[in-house]
Amino acid sequence: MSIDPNTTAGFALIVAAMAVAAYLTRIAGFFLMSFVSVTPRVEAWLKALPLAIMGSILAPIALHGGPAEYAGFAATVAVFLWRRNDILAAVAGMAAVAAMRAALGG
Amino acid sequence: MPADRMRGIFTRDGFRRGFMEGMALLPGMIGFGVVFGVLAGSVGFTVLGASAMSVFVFAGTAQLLALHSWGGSGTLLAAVVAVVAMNSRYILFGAALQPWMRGAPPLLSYASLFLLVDPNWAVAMRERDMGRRDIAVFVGMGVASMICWLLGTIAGSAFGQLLGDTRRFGLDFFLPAFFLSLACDFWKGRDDVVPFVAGGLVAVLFDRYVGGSWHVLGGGLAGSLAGAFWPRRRAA
Repeated sequence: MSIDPNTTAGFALIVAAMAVAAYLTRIAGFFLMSFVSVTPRVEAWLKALPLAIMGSILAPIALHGGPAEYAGFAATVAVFLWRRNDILAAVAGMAAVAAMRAALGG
Repeated sequence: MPADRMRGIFTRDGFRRGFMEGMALLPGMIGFGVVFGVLAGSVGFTVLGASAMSVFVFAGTAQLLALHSWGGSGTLLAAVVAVVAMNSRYILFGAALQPWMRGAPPLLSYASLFLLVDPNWAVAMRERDMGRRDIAVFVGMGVASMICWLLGTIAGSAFGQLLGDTRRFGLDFFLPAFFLSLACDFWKGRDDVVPFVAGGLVAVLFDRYVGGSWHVLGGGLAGSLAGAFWPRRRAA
């Protein structure tokens, strides 16, 4: 069976399949956890999860990144420590990356 | 009584708070939507097609990856694989949300999860750690994210070709920067080094040898288990 994404029906079918797959990833862990009782060990696991996820997202970016990305990380941490505001810090990081890319011509 | 059971779990105030915090993410979310819209337009999507995908799939990185192999007869399979690879992290996100949402009607929880994205998950975890249980914060932020994502998609697919290279605006760095500032926010002490560093190390290995977005699932699982089983310095 081959689906042609250039027809309206084919496009709609592919989007529908993607939507179902995306929703399943969103509910799968939730569904499985409803059978698990929250013991102290499970609670410790869930407590550690956000920082583990953040480390996982950031480490490859740090590894592949250059001066612009490092400046972005530094600006983010500095502004966060200064103002204690998540979003302001993220905007500062983004601005630092844009400025460095402009300066370096990257 | 259901209304009584719901008290504090889904409030109008919480929705407003989440929505406003989500609107503050506007530059990053719209920018990301523009990036997707531009690329979607360049492989022949109509504005309506790109918008439909953004609303129903609602997964930026997955949609971007799907565009890479768009066009041939193998598009269906490639697109579904792209979604699973990029969204695999949401399996863990959902698992972490479940105890926080306990007590809410299942229908409300499952409907809310349609709106699960990175920023509202991270904010839900922050709420959890503060002892708050208002799911409406999560939903409000999800709705705001959806609006920004859709507006960006429409703008990008309609006018995006005028922008040129969007990387120069640093928009690709917005989400990493947001996660880094939340990590600073989450940081409580030395015990936090274990999940953060173990997760990062395993993620680098997955990133090198597996690809996709599996590094977030692999690193997140390894780091959180390391955190759960590492002997604590503080007396529990």
